[in-house]
Amino acid sequence: MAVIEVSRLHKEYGPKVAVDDVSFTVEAGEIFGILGPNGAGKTTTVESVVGLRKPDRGQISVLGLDPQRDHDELRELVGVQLQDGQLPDKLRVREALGLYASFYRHPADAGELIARLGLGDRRDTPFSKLSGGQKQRLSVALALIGTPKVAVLDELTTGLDPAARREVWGLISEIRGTGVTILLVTHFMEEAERLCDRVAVIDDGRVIATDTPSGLASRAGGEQYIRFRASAPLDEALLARLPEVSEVRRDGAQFTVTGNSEALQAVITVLVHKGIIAEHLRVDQANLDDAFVALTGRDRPAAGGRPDDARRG
Amino acid sequence: MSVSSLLPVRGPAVRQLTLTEFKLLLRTPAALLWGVAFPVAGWIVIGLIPGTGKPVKAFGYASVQQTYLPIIIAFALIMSGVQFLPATLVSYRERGILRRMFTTPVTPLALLGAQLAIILGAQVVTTALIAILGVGAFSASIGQPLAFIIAFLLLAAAASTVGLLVSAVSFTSKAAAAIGGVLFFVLIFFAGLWLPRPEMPGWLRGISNATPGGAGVQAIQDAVAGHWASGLYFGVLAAWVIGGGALAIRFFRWE
Repeated sequence: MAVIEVSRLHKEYGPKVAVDDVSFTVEAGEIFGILGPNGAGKTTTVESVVGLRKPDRGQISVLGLDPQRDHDELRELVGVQLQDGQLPDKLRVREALGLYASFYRHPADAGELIARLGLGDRRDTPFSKLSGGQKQRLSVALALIGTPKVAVLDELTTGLDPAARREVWGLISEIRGTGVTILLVTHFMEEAERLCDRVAVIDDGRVIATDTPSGLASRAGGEQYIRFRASAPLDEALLARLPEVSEVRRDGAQFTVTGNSEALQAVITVLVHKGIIAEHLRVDQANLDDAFVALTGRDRPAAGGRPDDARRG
Repeated sequence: MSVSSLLPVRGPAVRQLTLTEFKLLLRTPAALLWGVAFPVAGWIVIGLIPGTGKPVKAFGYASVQQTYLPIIIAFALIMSGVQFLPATLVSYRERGILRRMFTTPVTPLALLGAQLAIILGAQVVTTALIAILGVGAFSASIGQPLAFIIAFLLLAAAASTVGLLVSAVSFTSKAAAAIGGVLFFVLIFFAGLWLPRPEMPGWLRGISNATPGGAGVQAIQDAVAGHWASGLYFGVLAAWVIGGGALAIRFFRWE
């Protein structure tokens, strides 16, 4: 059953088109990612889904309700964590959850939620004294305190260090088991890859692809990147002529071979035949990053553009 | 975010919001110090200085205590309304707290209401302390208590309305602190902190009459002296509440 249906959503701010034409469907119980670079229209899309913005055109249905018309009902059913949301510095964890619990008809048990989100030893800590990861976990807890059917989480891990990010990812994986449908907005490929069942890639206000993370990655060609150091001189033409190989780059004894899923076997066969050992051998699969580049023809969003390299290249 | 979506609010949420905002106020020492402790301490100092209960010719034969009682009260009300209220509201807006509340079943209007109630509570406590000390321990008197209460309520409302206006036009906490700070000094000057109204030249008192601090102090002053002030002063206060309130509603941003 579709929990969220967005069809031909369009939203402009003055002359700027924030969301051009966005459609997607989120099924019950799945973690659905909205992935794209900053300014792609992700936040405007979810703000329309939760009823904070009125779309100029298009239809949105959440749990069969219209976010504009049925705002009051929907607010009981949808928990939202907004980008850059903060709390008063001196508000304590337990107080924040107690307060938000009072907003809902059927709140979750605040103490239980605190324990489940790993904030048990922080229940009397004021907001300003929490670490970045703890603040985000509290923010997720506030989105879940009303026992929502749908949770919308916008830029959950932006600004967190890698350890805190993993901490929050672990939490989301746990929520998956509880049956809550999650709409997750991110510009981190790795985050979408880790957490999402399906992903809509948004660029310039349009959905350019909707698929599973591995489905998207395979659109990048299902390529492998084989990197190694040859123990003896090797003519790269020997590798380049293999049908499984699409590209060979050599930098001294360091080789980078790009090819299909059988390329590794073919390359190793050649090396064995020549009596050459592949030292420091590394094989990488195409991932969402590569898919993003393939889909948009642009640099990966999380790393940002590298204009200098592009110019030199 | 239509106005109708601002209205429905649940009882437990209102209680919890008010309780939470109260706790947060207790954890804000600066607000308690400047809004409550400092005015009360200042009043105690004035009361303890010998001779402040005797009539002074320059103050129209009112005593120093009778003259400063309304000014100290105005100080407390304007401090909490014009400085503390915008500081809190703008920081809530800056932190996305008001915006987040739009996604919950409780509207941010309830938070605003809780905030106004807490501030009024602090203003009532401060004013009561000052009045009880003045009448009980010192030689001040409040001749017309009903007029005193109405003047107090109108001045408190006018101060909070100015605070809402400051919140409406300030995009950042820093701007709110700067604008609120300057306005506080302007308003408390016209209320007569440095130059009590009886000593002001006519043209200055004319300006003072039109400010919430000046009109409020005069209304309280007359109540203290035992009579109702001219309706003009109550009118000025009401005009600030209604006009300022309309402007604040027009310009206030939730995000």
